Amino acid sequence: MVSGMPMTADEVAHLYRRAGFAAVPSALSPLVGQSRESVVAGLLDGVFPAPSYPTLSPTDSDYQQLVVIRRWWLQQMASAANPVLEKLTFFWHNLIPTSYWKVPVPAMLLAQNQILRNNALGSIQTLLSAIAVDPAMLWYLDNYLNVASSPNENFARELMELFTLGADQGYVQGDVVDAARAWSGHTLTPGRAYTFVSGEHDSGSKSIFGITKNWDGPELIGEILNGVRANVSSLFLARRLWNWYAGPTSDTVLLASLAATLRSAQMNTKEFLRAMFLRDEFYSPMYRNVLVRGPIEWGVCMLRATGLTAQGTQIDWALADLGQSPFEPPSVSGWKQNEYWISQAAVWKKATMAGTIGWSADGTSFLSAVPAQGPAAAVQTALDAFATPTVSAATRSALEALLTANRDPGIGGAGQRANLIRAVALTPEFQLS
Amino acid sequence: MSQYPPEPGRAEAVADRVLEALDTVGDTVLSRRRTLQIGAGVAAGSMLASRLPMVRGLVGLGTAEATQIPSTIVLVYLDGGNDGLNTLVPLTNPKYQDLRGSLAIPGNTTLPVDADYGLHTSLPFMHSMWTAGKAAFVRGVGYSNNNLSHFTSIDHWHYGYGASGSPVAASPHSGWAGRFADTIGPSNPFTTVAIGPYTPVSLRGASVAALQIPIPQSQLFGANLGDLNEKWVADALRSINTTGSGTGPLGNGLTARAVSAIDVAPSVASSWNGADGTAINRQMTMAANLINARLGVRVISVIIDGFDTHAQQAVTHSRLLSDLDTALSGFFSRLDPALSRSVAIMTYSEFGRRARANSSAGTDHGSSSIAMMFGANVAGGIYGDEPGLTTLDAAGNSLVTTDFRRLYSTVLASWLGTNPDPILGATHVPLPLFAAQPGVIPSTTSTTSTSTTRAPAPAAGASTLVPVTRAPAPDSPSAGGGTRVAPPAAGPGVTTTTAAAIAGSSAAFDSASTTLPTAGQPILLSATTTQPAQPPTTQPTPPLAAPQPAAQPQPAAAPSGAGIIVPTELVVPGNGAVIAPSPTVPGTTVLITVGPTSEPTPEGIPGEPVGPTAVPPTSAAHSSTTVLTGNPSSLQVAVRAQPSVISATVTNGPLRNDTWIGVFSAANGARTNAAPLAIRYLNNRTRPGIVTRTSGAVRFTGVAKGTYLVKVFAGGATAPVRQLRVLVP
Repeated sequence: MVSGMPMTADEVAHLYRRAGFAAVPSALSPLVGQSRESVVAGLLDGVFPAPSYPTLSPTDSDYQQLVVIRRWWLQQMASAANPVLEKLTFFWHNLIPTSYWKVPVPAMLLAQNQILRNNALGSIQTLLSAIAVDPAMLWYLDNYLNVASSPNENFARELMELFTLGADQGYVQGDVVDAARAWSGHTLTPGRAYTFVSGEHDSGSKSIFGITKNWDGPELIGEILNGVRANVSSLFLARRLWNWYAGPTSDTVLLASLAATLRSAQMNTKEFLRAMFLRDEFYSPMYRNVLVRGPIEWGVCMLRATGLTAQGTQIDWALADLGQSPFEPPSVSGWKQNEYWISQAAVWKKATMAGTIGWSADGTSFLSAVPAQGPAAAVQTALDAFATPTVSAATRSALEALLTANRDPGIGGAGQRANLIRAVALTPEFQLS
Repeated sequence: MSQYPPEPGRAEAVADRVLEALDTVGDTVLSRRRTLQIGAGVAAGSMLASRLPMVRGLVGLGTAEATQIPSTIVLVYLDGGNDGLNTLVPLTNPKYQDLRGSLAIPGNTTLPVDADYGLHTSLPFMHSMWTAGKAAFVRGVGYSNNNLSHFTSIDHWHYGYGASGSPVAASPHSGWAGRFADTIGPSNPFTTVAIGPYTPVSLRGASVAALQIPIPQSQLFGANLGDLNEKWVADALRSINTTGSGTGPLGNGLTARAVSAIDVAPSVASSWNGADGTAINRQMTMAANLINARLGVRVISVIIDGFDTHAQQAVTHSRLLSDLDTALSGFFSRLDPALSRSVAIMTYSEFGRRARANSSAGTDHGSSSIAMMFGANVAGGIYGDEPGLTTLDAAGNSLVTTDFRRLYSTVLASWLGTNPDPILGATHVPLPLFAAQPGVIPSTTSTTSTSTTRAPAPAAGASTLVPVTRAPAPDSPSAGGGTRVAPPAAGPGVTTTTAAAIAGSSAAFDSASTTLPTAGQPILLSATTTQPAQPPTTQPTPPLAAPQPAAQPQPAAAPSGAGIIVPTELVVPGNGAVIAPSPTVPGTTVLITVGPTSEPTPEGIPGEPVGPTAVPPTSAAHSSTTVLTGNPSSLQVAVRAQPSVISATVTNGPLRNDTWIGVFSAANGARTNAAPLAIRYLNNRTRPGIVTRTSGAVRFTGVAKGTYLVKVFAGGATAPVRQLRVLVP
């Protein structure tokens, strides 16, 4: 990349779509022509107010509390001033998840979210070290049951297999066994606070990654991320981040380069994101339309566009139907990507939800210019509002035909905004990123 | 049997009936019939266009086609690892009590199977199937070197991996049933159907994607294209796909699936007929509906979750088995008897439970378990060697005596009629679990279940297996790989009585076996002649006027948390009619449009309907159908004159089939016991439908000028939960 090269409108839109939850053309136009460094710095280096966390009522049931924190986070994504943080926090929740299914205490899930959020843009070692002793994680992966006399491998295994190294990458079963011993004694008090019980800790000699000593769990994270397994973990994490923000790739040269970037950034996520967003490849046609917006991202983009709220739309219900509820990943490996979200069932549910949103927004001032505009202009107004200004000719003409049919003299345009909203939400362009 | 070819008009009548039986509500019938009238050209690619000829073919085109009812296997995944030991309980093995302690099920509480086994007491229907000779239990099913991980184990099962964990080389990312679908091709979207929240890998093909059908929801996009709003959006999606979106493979996948979703929506909506109760019951109901609809479904997958019983197992396991048993009973009683010999159900689980109970009155992950097969053509018996409890593996689990892929091989070869070897990547000898090919009456009738005389299934490998009359001693596995133990000998009368007494399902089999023609003769006709009991569905309300815009606004979901808005007066532009909503019921929101010619227009909605927050479901999956939310959060009414129509839309009501809307005279309608002038249930009919729903739009036509009260009676309530005063000018 040539330093200082001005960004095009298309590149700015792409960056904002991927780094956050997209932005409308009018908001982005001041950025067009600025250098990539400047625009990326604007995304990453701004100072934003800390989010206010919801207060949970102890008289509410666990499930009611879950609904509260779900809607709170969805609303954060939909309206927070710093969408980069929200999307990155979601990334960490997907990579290092905890589920209400196993840990039905929303306050603990919320506390974990706070840890992810506070450390999302910082050192990955700090983040993982905090999560490892987070009560929700200790519960979710059973490490609170891990004692010297009866080691439990669950957390030790997933720490390597799913969180940092990848299945069978840089570790063997013997490492898992001894890593479990290293994590023994890191447990919970009866009040579900983290505690280290030295009497339950296996202080014998353990051999992990070829190093034999009296390992303690937290040391493991340092060795994985910034020690003997840094090459493996940097490659794994760089791939996961690239997949999340740019798209799937099998380009080993690119991945090796990204891994080196992550290492040289001392595993600092923010600096890695900066390097990633500055790369030419990130803006390449190869990485356009290669991500399906998962239900949460799709729904959040709907809320951002229309100004409706998570609470008002009860969007969490539709997201549950679509298979992606915050704080309830299907397993410790998080949600799957792309093709996983393409099905007839998803079409039905998205269409239902988009219809609900469309009719809700129809009663607001959203797209109020549309009825007075001709079909082409009205469609562009809607596409701009949905931060999807550029679509294929097929999509555009289909939307215009819809509007024209809706304005048939016998109908008179009744519900045209609602129908347009619904249709735009179901275009491939809006469903992709 | 001599009615072929049918008299003119008969095929249409029967086809119509089949279509109607598929339908849930009048408006669906309406839109479908209209589509049919418009013709296949308009409905290009639509299932509607392709299904009618198929039905006609079955009815009218003679033997060859009529016998082409494709066989179907229903795969029931017992998610979490079912405890086979406490499902088919060993009665005579002394180690059982030792290992299981308080979890051991006393033999005298089990349902008798034979001298060595009893069935868990929560399985009365399965037991009736057993005594009718239509249940097969396969012992010791699994794979060796199980690492006891749910994920790894179910991957083995669903992909169809070998014991080494190696994928089938030819198609490493597909599941075993998906590879079967690949051999058929993608033309019929119903070949493989996954009912439930996700598609198991087992149904993922290399080229054919399974149709995933959610458990009922109140609205299904594409099921009601008579709604113009929906139709316009559907047309837009079609048009994007037809001309290509240009957004690459993912975009193409999205648009292709969108069009397919529109095509299959009416059939899918129909599959929800009567789907209520537990999640597994709803899934099995949907499975039966789909099969009855003769859509060409070959594999259906359903899931019952919760078998990972690490603690306090007894209560949970009993409930799960009971739910499963009830669902299977409902399935067979719903299944069209004419199809009973073409349908089989197989249960499986990723593994069994540890032989020894743990200290939490539960069991940890085990290895082998039992699989079960049910169906009219199943050769009842016990198969597979008894793994016993004397020799356990290193983890303390019972041994695997039957490779799980032998089940697949059996299903593929003997039931789905294909060569299993390329699909499984190896040869696995099928088990003789079937007494006859699909649709064929076994040469020895199944109701006389004498143990050793029943003919083995014609499957490959069957001849190598020697039926015996008694199970081997539990701890001395016989050498054979597929020992079969038949159900106890019983006189035909006894067996029939037992089978028929329970749930009517076995009676259905008996009926089928006595009235169905023998192999080679048309089957559907005999079904239609043996089940004339269902009266024709009430005709839907005809369209008011053609064309039928029905531009009913899709009401918004109730925003929550906000206060209740009670408009006191609404001035409707146009003719100046002033309509005040009744003040008697707080929370009322009204949409009134009045005019001599205009359709109801959502542009006239002054603000959003606002109502109380719907009560959230009690579980995260909000799977329950019994949650009553109290009041519908909104009632919207539109009025049109000349010809006069009152349209009323209810949303966010309780999920019921008996919520109704009445039109009352304003003069006396305020009295609680006033009789309505007209009523409609949410299905827009005068009788409740089978389908439960939270919302609906109804129309009252031919209403005389005057003032009326429109009231909503939410499911079963005797007092209205909403009412509006309307003026018909």
